[in-house]
Amino acid sequence: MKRKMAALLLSSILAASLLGGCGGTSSEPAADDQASVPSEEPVQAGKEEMPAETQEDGETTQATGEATQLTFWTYVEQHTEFMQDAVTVWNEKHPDEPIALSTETYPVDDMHSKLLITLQSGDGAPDIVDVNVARFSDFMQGDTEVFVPLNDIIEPEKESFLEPVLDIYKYNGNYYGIEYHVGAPIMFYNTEILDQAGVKAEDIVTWDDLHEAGKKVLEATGKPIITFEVNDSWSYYIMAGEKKGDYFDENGNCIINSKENAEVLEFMLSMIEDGTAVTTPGGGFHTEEYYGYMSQGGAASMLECLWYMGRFTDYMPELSGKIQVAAPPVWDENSVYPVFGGTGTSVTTQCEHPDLASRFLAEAKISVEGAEKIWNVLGFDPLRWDIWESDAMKAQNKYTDYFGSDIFDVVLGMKDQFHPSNITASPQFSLANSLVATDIMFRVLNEQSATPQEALDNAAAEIESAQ
Amino acid sequence: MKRTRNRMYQVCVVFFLLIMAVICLAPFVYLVVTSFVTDMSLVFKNGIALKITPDMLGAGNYSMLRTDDNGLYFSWFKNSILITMLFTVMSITLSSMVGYGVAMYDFKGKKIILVMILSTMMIPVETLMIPLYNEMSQFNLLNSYLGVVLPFAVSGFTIYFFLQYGQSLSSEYMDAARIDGCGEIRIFLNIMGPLMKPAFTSMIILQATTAWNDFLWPLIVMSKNVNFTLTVGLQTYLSPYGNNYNLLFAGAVVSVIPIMILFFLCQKLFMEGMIMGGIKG
Amino acid sequence: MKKKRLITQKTAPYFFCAPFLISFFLFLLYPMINMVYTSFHKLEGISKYRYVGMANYERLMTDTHIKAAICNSLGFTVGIIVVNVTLALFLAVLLNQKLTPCRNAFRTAIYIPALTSIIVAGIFFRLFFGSNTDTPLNTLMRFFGAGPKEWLYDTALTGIVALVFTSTWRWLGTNILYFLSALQTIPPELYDAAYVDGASAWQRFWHVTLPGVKPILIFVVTILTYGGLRMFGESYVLWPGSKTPGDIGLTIVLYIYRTAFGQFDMGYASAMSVALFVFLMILNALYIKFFRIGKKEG
Repeated sequence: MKRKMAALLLSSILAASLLGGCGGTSSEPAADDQASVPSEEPVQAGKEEMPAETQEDGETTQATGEATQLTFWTYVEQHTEFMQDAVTVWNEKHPDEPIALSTETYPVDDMHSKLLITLQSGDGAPDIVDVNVARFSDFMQGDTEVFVPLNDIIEPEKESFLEPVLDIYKYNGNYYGIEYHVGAPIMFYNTEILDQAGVKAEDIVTWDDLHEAGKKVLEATGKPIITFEVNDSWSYYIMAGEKKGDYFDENGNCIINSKENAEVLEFMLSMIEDGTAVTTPGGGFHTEEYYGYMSQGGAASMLECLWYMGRFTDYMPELSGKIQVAAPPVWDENSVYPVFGGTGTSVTTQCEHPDLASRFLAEAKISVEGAEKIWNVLGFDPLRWDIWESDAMKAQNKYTDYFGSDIFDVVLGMKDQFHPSNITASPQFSLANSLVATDIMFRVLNEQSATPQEALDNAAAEIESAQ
Repeated sequence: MKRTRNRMYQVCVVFFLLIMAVICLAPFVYLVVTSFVTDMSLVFKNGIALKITPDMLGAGNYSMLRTDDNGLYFSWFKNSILITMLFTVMSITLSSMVGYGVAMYDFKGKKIILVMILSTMMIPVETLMIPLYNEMSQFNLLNSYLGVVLPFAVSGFTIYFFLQYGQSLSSEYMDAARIDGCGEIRIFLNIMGPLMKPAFTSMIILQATTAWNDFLWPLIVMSKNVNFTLTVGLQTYLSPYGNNYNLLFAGAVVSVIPIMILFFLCQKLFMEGMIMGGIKG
Repeated sequence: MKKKRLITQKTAPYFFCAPFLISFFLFLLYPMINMVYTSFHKLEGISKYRYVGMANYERLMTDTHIKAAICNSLGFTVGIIVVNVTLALFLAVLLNQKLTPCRNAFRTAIYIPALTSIIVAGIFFRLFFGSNTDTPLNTLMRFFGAGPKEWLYDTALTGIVALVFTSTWRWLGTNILYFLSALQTIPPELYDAAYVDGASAWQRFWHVTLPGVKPILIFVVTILTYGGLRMFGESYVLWPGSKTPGDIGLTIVLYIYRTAFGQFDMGYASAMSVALFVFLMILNALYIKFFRIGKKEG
């Protein structure tokens, strides 16, 4: 009975594959009701047999003795190195309560989706997590706490910190995250192009000065003086923030269509119209198109935050020595510099050792040593301003080689005008930010299918309907 | 006369097919060539111009891929292989059963089941991620292969393919077998199943490719780097703080190799199935 | 052989359908019910849902992005159906001809893109459609005397073209495969008979090939429709971070995904999913009616 044999064989393969599937999936097989198949013992059709190593540990550092296991999620590879380095330091200093940190790097959007899902389901969230500033408001709404307040570690050291940066992640009076860097707004000038037009960066104080200088540059070189992002929001956010424009006020009222914001867009548009500014190739400052464009001397300046230095050193080595960092132009004497950091680190409420995790975070990011590493390892401007003038910050590194040694003098000069951004004021912040990044900038500056006021009013209406 | 016309036809066809083949393969060739460029900044020197010269080439990226993060890439590789195997076997076995059942029998509720099958093809699974994640969490299947495979193993799409195929088969064989005293399952396994062999081979390739290339769901189920599949892992080389093109290109090239091997193996089987000719109008 | 069988001709179909039914209730119906429930709510904080009645559906009526997304999705779907069906069927017929040289090699070459993931394809196409003037595509455009374009930042149409191209590159081989396997089922005698009757190549195609591949043709159109309307991956890789400038390249599911996971607005995302689902259900009913899916061909 050949047929019968074949039938038997097929169904047993089926059964084996199902059983094999169950047997290997979890350390305590949920479905081993009948003759459970040990995974080391391959049955027939053993090719779909699964080894029981799906539950193996993530990459860990020196899990010695009774080290406490903590997990850390980030979307920035360099942050894992920074954190692992901090773990080594911690374990040397606290041999009585060692930590083993397993780190996972995800793509940025996916990490936040995953974080939401795991926090919602009450299972699977990491202990410590990096949250992007544009997404932080999503986790700060209602009164369910998903992150542990970090007041105990932040308040003792508050004096040495720039309060506007701490306030980014403040919600209902508690600090729910701690930044890596100030993210001071910085203008990067290409002095080679400016020289050709006889323009000096020092003489550009206001945005009108920049516009005038732009006309000279355009005449002399045929190049625009600045590029505006159309697929990202932050350079606009800086310019609007200088006028104290924001998406929401402190009480969470939508002010995205304020007069100030519209004026800024009008100004940007006027520069685009006379050719002193262009929209960024590739849409934003973080694309290959843009790196190539800038390194070929495409435009004479750009407005970003201090941490963008790393992009210059990594992607535009040709411009080494030609880039001058300066405080961004202002609107008038009342202008301020908005600060909004970039990435906050939080401890989730699913963490079983919130106290240990918080204290570790304090050592990693708040202590003087930690702050120095933020500059030396990551190339960011640390939150502790009390060390900005110290020798540690003057030490030669790839950034001083590229931009000169007075980087922090520029930032120090701006310190007193730093102004907080209302990131957590409304849970709609991420929607507002996304509307600016994907819609407003493109429609106003690139497509020119809507006037600044129209585009902003539409956005305000949309935010209203999403409440 | 006829011979020259055939010649003409052949020249035209070959020319057209060559263009198609070039379009299809050029991106791939580009990926392979670029994966050997060790200094990626040269590739993107002037933005995206993609000019590559022979002196830029070396095998550096591949050895980097091997050593990066203690060979993390290889655990992704292993995961992808196992998930793909499990998914393909489960999916083909179960979906062919269903497709066959619906195609070959008339029964009460057939219409409803058919609508259900088609509707599963239309639901954007992206929107079901949160409830599905919660379910997997309850079943204790997070971070496991079965968790990745189970929710989508019986897919409307696969069923529909077998269903369509089954419809082109004649039910006379079944009646004949029944007269011989054959049970229904035996009819499926021994008589009708083999007739659907070409469908099986096509589906093996397709389902393996689907599983191998799936992105969103494995990303959500697997929460540790070591548990990632290749697609998910590759995406981690792209970050807003700079793309790791060295590992990305090399990783992408290696990730396509296994599925290609499978394809070439199956293609033979596919041809054999044709020659044996299970189907006669 | 009088042993009573558990699985008879009557019960067999239910046995065969069991895996589907289990999977349907567990992994589809339950999450769907959850989705409908969520669509009447608004997520506040992380896990608290507030009942908002029809508010999410009302928002759907005034949302300009969803209009753009629907246009893009429909344009894309029509695009891939037209390109894929005609091109794939044509190529399949060519590759099925005994006269065509190197059939296997060409078949393989055209199929290879289907083996890559959208992530891998995205790596190339993101660069291919890049904005610099020296990208391969813009170089080619110059060669044909047209100006360079910022394909992904130009108009909704160039966005759709980029999407259709990327998608077709990956799916053409698969669709050819479907048609090839269907062509195998056409008995060669039919062609011989038609040839003897003096039918031209076109007549043979029209009267023999097309009816022969009809079931698979319907299958291909169906999956392309559904695949097109719920397309997500191509947009996801071409516009990183789902930042679709002025809604260029924004598709329905990408918008749902962005609303759900970018803004965590689960309620609105669910409402959109439900609406999409209802629309697809109607389409589904029409397809079943007109294409006679599931009926044995007479």
